[in-house]
Amino acid sequence: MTDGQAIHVLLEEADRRLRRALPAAVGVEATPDAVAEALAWAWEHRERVATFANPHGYLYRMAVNAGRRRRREPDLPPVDTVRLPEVEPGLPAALASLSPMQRQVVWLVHACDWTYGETAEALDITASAVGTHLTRGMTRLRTSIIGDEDHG
Amino acid sequence: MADLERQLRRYADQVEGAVGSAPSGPRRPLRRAAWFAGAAAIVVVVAIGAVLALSGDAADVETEPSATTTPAVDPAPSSTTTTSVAAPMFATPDAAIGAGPLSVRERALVVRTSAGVLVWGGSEGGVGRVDGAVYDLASGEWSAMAASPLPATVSQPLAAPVGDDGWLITRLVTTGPADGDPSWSAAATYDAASDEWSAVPDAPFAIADLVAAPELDAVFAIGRDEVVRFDVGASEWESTGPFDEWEFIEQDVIPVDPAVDPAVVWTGRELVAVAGAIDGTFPVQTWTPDDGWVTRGTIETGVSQVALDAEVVDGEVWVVGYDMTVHAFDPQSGAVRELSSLPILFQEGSPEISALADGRVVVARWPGVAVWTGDGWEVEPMRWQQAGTIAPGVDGQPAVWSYSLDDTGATNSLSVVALPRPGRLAEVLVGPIAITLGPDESIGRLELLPPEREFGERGIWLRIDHALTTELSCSFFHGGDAGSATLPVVTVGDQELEYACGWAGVDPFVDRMRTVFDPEAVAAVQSVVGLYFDQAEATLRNQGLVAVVEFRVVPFGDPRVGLVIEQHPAAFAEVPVGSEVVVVVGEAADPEE
Repeated sequence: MTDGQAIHVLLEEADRRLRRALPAAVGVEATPDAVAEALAWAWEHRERVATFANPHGYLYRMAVNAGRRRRREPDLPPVDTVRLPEVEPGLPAALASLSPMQRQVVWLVHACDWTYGETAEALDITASAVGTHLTRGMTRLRTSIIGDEDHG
Repeated sequence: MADLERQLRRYADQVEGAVGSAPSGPRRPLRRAAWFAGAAAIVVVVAIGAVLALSGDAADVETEPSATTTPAVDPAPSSTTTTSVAAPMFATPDAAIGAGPLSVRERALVVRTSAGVLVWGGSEGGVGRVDGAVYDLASGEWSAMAASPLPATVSQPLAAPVGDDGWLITRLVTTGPADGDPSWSAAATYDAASDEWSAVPDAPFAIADLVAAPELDAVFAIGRDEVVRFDVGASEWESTGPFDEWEFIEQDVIPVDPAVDPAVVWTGRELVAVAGAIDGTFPVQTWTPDDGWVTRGTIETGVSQVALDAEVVDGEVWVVGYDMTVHAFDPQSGAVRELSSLPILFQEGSPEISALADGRVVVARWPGVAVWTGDGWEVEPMRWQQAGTIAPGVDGQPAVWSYSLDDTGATNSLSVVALPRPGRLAEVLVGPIAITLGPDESIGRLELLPPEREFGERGIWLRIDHALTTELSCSFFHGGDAGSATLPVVTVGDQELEYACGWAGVDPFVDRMRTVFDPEAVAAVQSVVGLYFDQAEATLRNQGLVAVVEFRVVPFGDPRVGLVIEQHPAAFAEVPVGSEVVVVVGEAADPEE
């Protein structure tokens, strides 16, 4: 694979991962343009990006910065209860009630299957902090959705 | 409520579909000029929007990626497909599956097969067992295994995978308890798919460990001073030749305990063997079919070790010693480097190091589990009393499968424990005590304060940032003793609680805990300069901060002896609750100096 092909593969993968990862941070509406800006930057600096150990994490941070200029709070759509009957209708509101860091950690780790290392790189925190925010966030999600009486 | 993690993934599928057609591939965006012009606006937003100003946000996007999370050795794979990357090791719930059809026993062989879990052998009351059963994960049912040709000895069986779904299983046979009494290992293969055993020739020596080498269609059997290759296809044992040099620690007990024998791994190209040594110098030897045994280097610890384990990690061989030192050997260059040691928390049993499928490196040693972070180890308490096999759990998540006896020794249970669990032990700040938290993840933020009465080596701080639960499980050890207890926590809120955590035969000790329900809090460090250390420590503790002491020699007779001379960070600095504050305490110089 040539270097040119490699960067295309990388950016296509980044496109796919960021479109899934960003909504929890910047909202559905802001995600496409935020991803576009991040990928454009990555293309213009492709030689440097090719050397990154975790380019997706770096591009995530870049896209989040770009997306936040457009919106202060993420707009997560309501659950399609017809297609997803197993998903709690209160999940979007519960996610919105999390702190931004908790929401991003929960989303990246559980919704997007990012590893702790990738999530730590994306959010510029330690892997240990990822674990802490993840547990707090999940606890708050459960509490928010089902209440204290059903805990555990 | 259905599994929350699965709900998040399903919801994310919906959200991803709603994002719409973001441009695929690179293009020059229309708003790129606006992006750079808006850099100043980003700074303003970060400054005034406290909720949005995340601690790690890179307002300056031109800076290099943060180095804080770039590990020296990064076992985490660079995922190219989100669907193939397993979620971190937290999806598999703990499960007690039950004893199945087997009678009570201990030290049974437990291996994870393609369809379930195989439990075979073990012993009860000095009587070896020769039966086994397989637990099918799909059906949740046990089925008895066919009769085995292996003998009913009391030693714990060893196993190595062969073929598609087969196992080479060996069991030590001894003719007497005295040193020098002949011993060897009986061997057989078991095909999990057909439930058939096949007898194979006995191994000519006492096997301490089995190492599978699928590239050679072989299994290497590790003995006290030799390594023998079992050719799977030919069903024959063949010596690989003697090691160049070994020095073994003498032992009085037979049968052979794997903990005192060399650690051997197969890298895919060669065997790497690290032997125990009396003077703390470990020869590292490699074996290849062409070159045989060659001494490639040494690991120096200066400590006699009786237990080693090794694992292949990113082409290196990581070796864990009984003293919890960790070294990495590069078979290509022969170089040896020392990694961060594991916390002294671990004191019992033999270490077991495993490289998990998702790239993480785990060391298990009761009562804890440590995960390599890239530049150190994060500790997790272990909640099983008898280590089983680290293997994929349900849904492929790494887990420990254990067929263990309960506290009374009356019943067995096959259990799977996810490995490890996050948030159960956020931070062990000082000392040998680990606190495990209850099964409910809604666990409060706790600070374990120094005890009201002395009990040996204490002074443990532990901070766990969770909501408070009604039950707290305590596991601990002190010196060579260990124990556990379940502690009721009946109140929540910002108050001090008393609880007792002790073990049979010893008066339970009482500790104080304070719950703090402000995990996002920031503290303005109080000035502790001029205070005695215990006063400074108490002052900082009341703020939710941790005092770390350093000593500085001052002239004999200096009034600053015993007092805090400096503190870092300085007074009034705002730091997250839970941060460390270094206090420099004056220490008297020798009057004769």
